[in-house]
Parts: sequence; structure tokens; C-alpha cells
Amino acid sequence: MLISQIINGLSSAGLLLLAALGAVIIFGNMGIINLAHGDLIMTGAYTTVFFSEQGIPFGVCVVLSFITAAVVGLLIEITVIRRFYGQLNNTLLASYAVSIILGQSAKLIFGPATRTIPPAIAGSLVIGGVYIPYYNILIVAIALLTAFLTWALLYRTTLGLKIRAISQNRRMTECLRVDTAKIDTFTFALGSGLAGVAGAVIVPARVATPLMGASYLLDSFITVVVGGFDSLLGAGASAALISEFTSVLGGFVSEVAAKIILLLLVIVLIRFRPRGLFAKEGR
Amino acid sequence: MSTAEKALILRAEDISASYNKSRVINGVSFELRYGDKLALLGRNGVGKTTLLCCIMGIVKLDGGAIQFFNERKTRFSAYEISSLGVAYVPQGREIFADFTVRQNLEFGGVTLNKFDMRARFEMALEYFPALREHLSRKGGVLSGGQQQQLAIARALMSGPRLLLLDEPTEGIQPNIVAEIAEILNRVHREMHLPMILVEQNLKFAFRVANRYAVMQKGAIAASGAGAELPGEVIDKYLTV
Repeated sequence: MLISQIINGLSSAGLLLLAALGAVIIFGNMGIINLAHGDLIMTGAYTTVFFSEQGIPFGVCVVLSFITAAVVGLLIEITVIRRFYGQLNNTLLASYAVSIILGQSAKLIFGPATRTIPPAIAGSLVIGGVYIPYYNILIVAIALLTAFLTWALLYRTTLGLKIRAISQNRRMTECLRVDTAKIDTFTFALGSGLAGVAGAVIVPARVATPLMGASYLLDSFITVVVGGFDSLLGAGASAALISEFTSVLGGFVSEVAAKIILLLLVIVLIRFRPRGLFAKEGR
Repeated sequence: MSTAEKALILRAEDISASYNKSRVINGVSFELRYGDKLALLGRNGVGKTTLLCCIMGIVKLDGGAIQFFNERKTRFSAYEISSLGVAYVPQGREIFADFTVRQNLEFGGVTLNKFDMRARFEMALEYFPALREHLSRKGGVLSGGQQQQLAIARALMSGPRLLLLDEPTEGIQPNIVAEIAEILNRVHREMHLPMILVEQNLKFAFRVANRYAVMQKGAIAASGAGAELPGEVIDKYLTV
């Protein structure tokens, strides 16, 4: 049973990592707490439901979910967020309003009922009597691939260098011929697109609902807080830690009790390591 | 050729600026022409750094205009000004602590193509050879003097048409100060790069500059050309 819980935890870690990646990009690099992050995950989920129902293959649906959520993110940044840079309270309020608008729009378009699609790959791998659904393996693979591509963009391209420069010193970056407003828009769209990928991958494993954003928002931010605000590696480690913790503990106590214990531990962590377990020192 | 005949680099026209409704720059006008190395002098808090920030587009103007080369501007951002060819070495250096020395330098020329980047990179290291052995170290672990050299080298990477330097000797040991003065003079000689230098260290300022402007209460109180300041200007505006 313990092995089964650990393996389940890995696929949850994949989902959690995907959900948190966009938040790490937007919060870690731009310092914005985007309360509409969960609704961008929902946008990705419904995009995959919509295109999958048109017979589009799952892999293409994931890409379309990225594009759709990125375009929605782009519009949010241009119309709302860019007016409130450096104003934490206003950003929180504005992004909360956007979250409500997105959730209610999804309700109007898709109705209040839950929607889902079958997993892209059916069947399970059986190892020593433990069943591992192939889709769970796919989730972990997509999460690792997405995390690697994000890392490569941030650490191996000029664009990534600009994004990281802004996160260190916006004013100086602007003084070095970088149009920081354009980079901000791109970064926000990228983070939103990554949330869309999370939504696409979540849907076959769970369900899409118009108000699903709230719970994924919480999960994403817990992952970011535990891992460190600006660390991709931290987000991965944190996703694995949290998922394994709740999955294994959930085998002994109820899932709700496991989550409560997790939240209590996160509060203790914030007290002693407010920048997370894997944050860069001295920033 | 007289100064008036030389090409105009920058003209500040009656500019003013404020912090939180408190006027810091008050009707400043001056010109900078090709070949000029202007030292902005004055006691602490008279507005020298703010004036440099106004020129760079970091602090918005309340009034007046600045002409850069052939473009006259009243509202502008740091991105626009840097794109015109103005490079800035800020007080405190502001190098990217998480980037390596190589990344800091390359970021200075982030808009260049690969060929130009390589050429400028080698040029920057020729001016500051001490940086060569630190290329793979993080900028944040360098000494103050090394960081200052890196900040100037980064500014030169873009091939600027005007260099602004804010207290480049602050917190730097004397032998490095002398070295920086020599390098700035060499840069000016070889690249014909006009400079505006905010400085408290008068000896350094006049080792580099060929013109001076002394500020008092957000305005220019005295200005002139030459290798040293008249005694009465020092007594009136610079002695504490």
C-alpha cells in the first residue's frame, strides 16, 4: 500500500509542479500575486475539453491550451495588471476581479456541470502487483518536459536573461536598452500559458469546473511558498515533497486531515523560512 | 574648433523635477558638446544624482526639456534614452549580483549582434583586463573596485554616444580610483566619448573632467572650463 501511495504521490507531484510553474514565473520574476492564476488553469482545462470533443488529439490540445491561456494572460496584463505594478493591494484586488470574471464567464459558456475527457493513454503498468496508470506516467513526463523547457528558456536564452535581469533590478535593466514593459507582458503571458498546460493535463485525471481555479490557486501558492518564490528547482522539489506527504499521510489519516497538517506545517515554515526552502540566499 | 562649434550632445533647457512634491531640481540649463567631460560637483543633497537620473529618464521632469543629439524630449523613459545611446553607471554600481561577470558584460550589449558583441566584449576587457580572470564568477562576490570596473565596462559594451557616471569612486580604494581615472581618460581619447561625471572626489573629478558645473539647491550655481576649480567656488559651494 505504501508503494502505491508513493507512486500516486508522484503523479500528483507532476500536476502540482505544472500548476505551480506559471506562479513561479509570474510571482518569482515579476513579484505579482496573481489571484486569477487558478482561473488560467481552468481556461486551459476547458480549452482541452472543447478541442478534445472536436476530435483533436490530446497533444495538440495541450499546445492549444497553452496558447489560449497565454493569450488570455496577455490581455489581462495589457488591460489590467500593467496599471498596478508595484501596488500589491491593487494587484490583489484587480486579479481577484479578473478571477471572478473568468470563472463566471466559463459558467456562462460551458455551464455549471463538471466536464472531463478520457485519459490520452488507457491501461496501467503493473509492477510487483502495483498498478500505475500509463496516464500518470505521462503526467510526470509532461511536467518534467515543461519544467525543462521553462528552465532552458530562462537560463539558456537572451530573452530569459532579460526576464531574470528585470527580477534582479528593473531600473538598471531599462537603462541597458531593454523594453521592460514588453518583457513583462511576455513573462505574464508565459506564466499564464504554463497554467494552461496544467489545466490541460489535469482534465483527464480529474474534472473541469468553472470554479476549479480556487483550489488550484491555493495548491500552486503553497508549492511556491514551500519551494521558494524564484526557484524552478524549488518548485519541483516542493511539488514532490507536498504530494508525497499528503499522499502517504492520506493513506493513514483522511485526505482532509493530511491537508490540514500540511497547511499547519506551511505556517511554521513561513515563520522560520519566509522565502521558502530552496530560495536563493541574500536577495 | 571652439566649444560652441562642436556637435551638440545634450542640452538641458530649464529642467525641473521633484520627489513627493518637494522640488529637487530647479530650472537647470546647460549644454554638453562633443569632446566635453563635465564634472557635476556640489555638497551632498544638492541634486547632482537626481539631475543625472532626470537625464537618464529615471526621474520624470516637472518642466523643461532635454535635447539629446538631434532629439528634443520632455517626457521619456530610461529605455528610450538608453536606446538613443546614453549609457549610465549608477551610484552603487547596480551590477546584476546573480549573473556572472561575463553575463553582466554581455547584458550591457544585449541588443548587439554576435559579431559586434564579441568585438565589444574584447574591447571592454582590454580597458579592464582585471575582469578577465573573473568572467565565470558571480557579480555579487566581486570587490567594490571590481564591481565598479564591471559597471563601467558594462556601460561601454553598448557602444554609447554619451556616458553618465554617478560617483564612480565611492567606496573604492585609492589605487583603483587612479586606475579608473586613467581608463576613463583613455576611453575618452580613443572612443571620443563625452561624459557627465557626478563626483565628490575633486582630485578625481579634475583628473578626468575638462569642464565643471557646481550645483547648489537644485540649480547650477557656477560653471566653467579648466583643470581646476577657482578657490572662491570651492569656498562658497564645496567646503563644509
